[in-house]
Amino acid sequence: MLLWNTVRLAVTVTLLCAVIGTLTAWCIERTELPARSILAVLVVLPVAIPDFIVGYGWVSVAPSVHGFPGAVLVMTLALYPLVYLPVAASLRGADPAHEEIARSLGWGRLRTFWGVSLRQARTAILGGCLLVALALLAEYGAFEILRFQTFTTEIFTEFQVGFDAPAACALSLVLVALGLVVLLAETGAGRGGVRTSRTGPQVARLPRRAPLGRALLPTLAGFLVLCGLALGVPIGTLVYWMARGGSTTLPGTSIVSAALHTALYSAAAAALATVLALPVALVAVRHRRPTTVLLERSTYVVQALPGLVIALAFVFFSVRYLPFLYQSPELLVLAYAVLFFPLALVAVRASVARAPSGLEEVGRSLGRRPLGVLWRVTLPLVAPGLAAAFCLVFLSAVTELTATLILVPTGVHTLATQFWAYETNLSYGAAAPYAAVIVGIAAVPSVVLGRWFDRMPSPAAVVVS
Amino acid sequence: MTSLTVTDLHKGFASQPVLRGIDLDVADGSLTAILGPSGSGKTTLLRVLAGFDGADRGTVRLGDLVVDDARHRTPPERRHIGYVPQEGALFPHLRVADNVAFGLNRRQRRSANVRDLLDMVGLTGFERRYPHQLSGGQQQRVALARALAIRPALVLLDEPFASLDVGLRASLRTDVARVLRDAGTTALLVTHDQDEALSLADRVAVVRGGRIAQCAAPRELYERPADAELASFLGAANLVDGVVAAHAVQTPLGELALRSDCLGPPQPSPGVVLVRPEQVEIGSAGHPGLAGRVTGCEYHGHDAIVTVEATEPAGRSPILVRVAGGGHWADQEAVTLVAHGPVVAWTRREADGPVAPEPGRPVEQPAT
Repeated sequence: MLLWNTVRLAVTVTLLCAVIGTLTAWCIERTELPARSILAVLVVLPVAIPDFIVGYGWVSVAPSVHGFPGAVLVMTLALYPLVYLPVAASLRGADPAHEEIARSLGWGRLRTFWGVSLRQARTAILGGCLLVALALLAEYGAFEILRFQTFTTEIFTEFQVGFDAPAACALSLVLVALGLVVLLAETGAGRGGVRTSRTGPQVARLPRRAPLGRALLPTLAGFLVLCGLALGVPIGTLVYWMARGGSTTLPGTSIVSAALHTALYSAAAAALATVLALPVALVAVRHRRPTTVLLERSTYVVQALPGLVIALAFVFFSVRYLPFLYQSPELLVLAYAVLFFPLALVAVRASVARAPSGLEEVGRSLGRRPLGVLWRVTLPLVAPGLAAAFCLVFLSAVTELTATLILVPTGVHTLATQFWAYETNLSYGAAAPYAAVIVGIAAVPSVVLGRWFDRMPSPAAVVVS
Repeated sequence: MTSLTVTDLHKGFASQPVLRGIDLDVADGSLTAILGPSGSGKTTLLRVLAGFDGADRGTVRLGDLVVDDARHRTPPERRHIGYVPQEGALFPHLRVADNVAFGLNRRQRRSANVRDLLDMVGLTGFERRYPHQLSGGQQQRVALARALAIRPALVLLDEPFASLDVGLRASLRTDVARVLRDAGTTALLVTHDQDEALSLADRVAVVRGGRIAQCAAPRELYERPADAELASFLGAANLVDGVVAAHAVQTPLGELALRSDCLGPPQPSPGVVLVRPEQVEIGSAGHPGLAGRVTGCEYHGHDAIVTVEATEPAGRSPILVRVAGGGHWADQEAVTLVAHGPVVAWTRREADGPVAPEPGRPVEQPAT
């Protein structure tokens, strides 16, 4: 039952996200849609709203949203940007010449879209689907709110209610296996795929945009509905509950201290993960050998591990071997850093790969030692990637719920734990300010990240490669 | 004095040999071009010299200093070799002045050095620009100034003009040659462009199959290539069968004198003769010479290359003739050809061998 629930949800939501994400990306990147720049921001914004807040938004206004249909609705709306982002980046970076050649060789518009455009974006779509599927396996908060049982919620219950370690571990193993299956499926499908390549040093021209014609109004309406459901409902509910906030207990100073703790832990984790990702990325890109490739790949396996499993592992390990670390802030920061290390690595690696190694060689030939070259050439060149990695990890840590609930130091409250405490008591009004602050803090790095994606020409940037 | 000596240099990647015994001497203050087709290992050679890659075998000497003997390798930063890569590779985050001063310490930077260098490459007043605000040619000039800033013993230029358009290429390469000569720097220029190599360099080393096939002054390389394959690699060439005697060769194009610095075998023997298209004269039918028919004409403006197929015997490879001013020869017009010496010839190892030119030995070493 648990397995069936988990798998059918993962498949349904992943497919829906793939369709919605790809279609929106194509409309924004390749058609003459009006107000594209605004829509592009609106379409991405849901990524800044944690899934459990989306779930809370829906459930608190429409209690009928629950179970499988509710989970599909909420998770699709929360996760489709994970497909949109890489596909949009790939469409933007793709050489329009290929499409033009296909047209000149007698392929029709639709056939070109299927055979060329989608093919070029295939790696990006698959990469996005991978992220969606893994996020679904790891999700706890939203499903708990929607009263939909998956492996993750069951493991959490075993741990929290029964404190039944063996049962939690056994279930975790199944979850890890599922994650690995998804990861392997993606690598299998993604390999041997299209190597998008450009020959010659010229810069790719900007793609010509397709006029929408009579499809304009339906398309615009579709975008409005999507944004309304994915953004309007959660934010609307937050505003609604905040406005009614007077009727419930005012959060007062506790929200400030919670926000400070959240920001502090997240920033520390982001800095740690970024610093750790740099040497791995440098070694993996610059000194490509079987061992370094293995090192790099092994860190991606972490991505297939749900946060819950990692958190439980940290708990068991620290309780048994390092009791002084148990429930310490350091352990939480370390867990965040491990949990989101793959994200940091992806961002850093992409910018290291883009920094031409020829520049470092020139630096050496001009008489600089390797460390000097690293400091004066490599670091300035990969700085945007480091910033992106920091933002990515920070954003993820601020919106993290599951591991936080398990590892948060005793007596400390973060935004997520406070929100959760009120939400589980059904005090929607009291929970709303915490959710609003989470969304507010998460929005800042989201904007920075959006800029970064705009400048990334490489579709592989966001894909596990 | 030689500033660079390469001896028996071997280098391969994943058991795929690229360099197979390079021997090269570069004289102090000279500009030597390394010429070879794409994929012949030119860039690999340059990277080993610069110290980015290590040699598998052989030695690289800078002056009297061994910088690489396949066991010990001096790191690039201690070699003092300037390097100008294909696309300039300026540091995108640094201004022009900072790019040029990258290899200088604080004291050197304070002197007017940077401005002088920019003046020298013709970029006065560009100090505060960023690389992306420069054209391709300007970027290459900055890259050259940056390489010269450290007063290198040797400058390596890796196809520095390849990415520029034709007009810019011509003007930039004369400028670069002038700058290098003015600075008195020894330079090694890698290129696949024959015109570039022949017009710029004091000496040209042709790379073939991972070895230096010939290293000589441009004129000698063109007029007296070491073998038939080199002859056709460098410029248009007719390789004609003939009978080689001591001082002359008998060919279908008439009897041609051998170059005075060549001496044929005592007994006349069959061989291959190099006749450059400009050594062939074309005349209308009826004149003495080899009778043939025009089959094509490649028009270049200042001159033209006319292709002529000999009537008798048929099946022989066509002969190329360079005609000044463009020529007025119609397709299929009957013509006669006469060649003028002196020429270079190679004897065949086997008299009855195939007609295809086989890389043989030059007839005789020049009298020294």
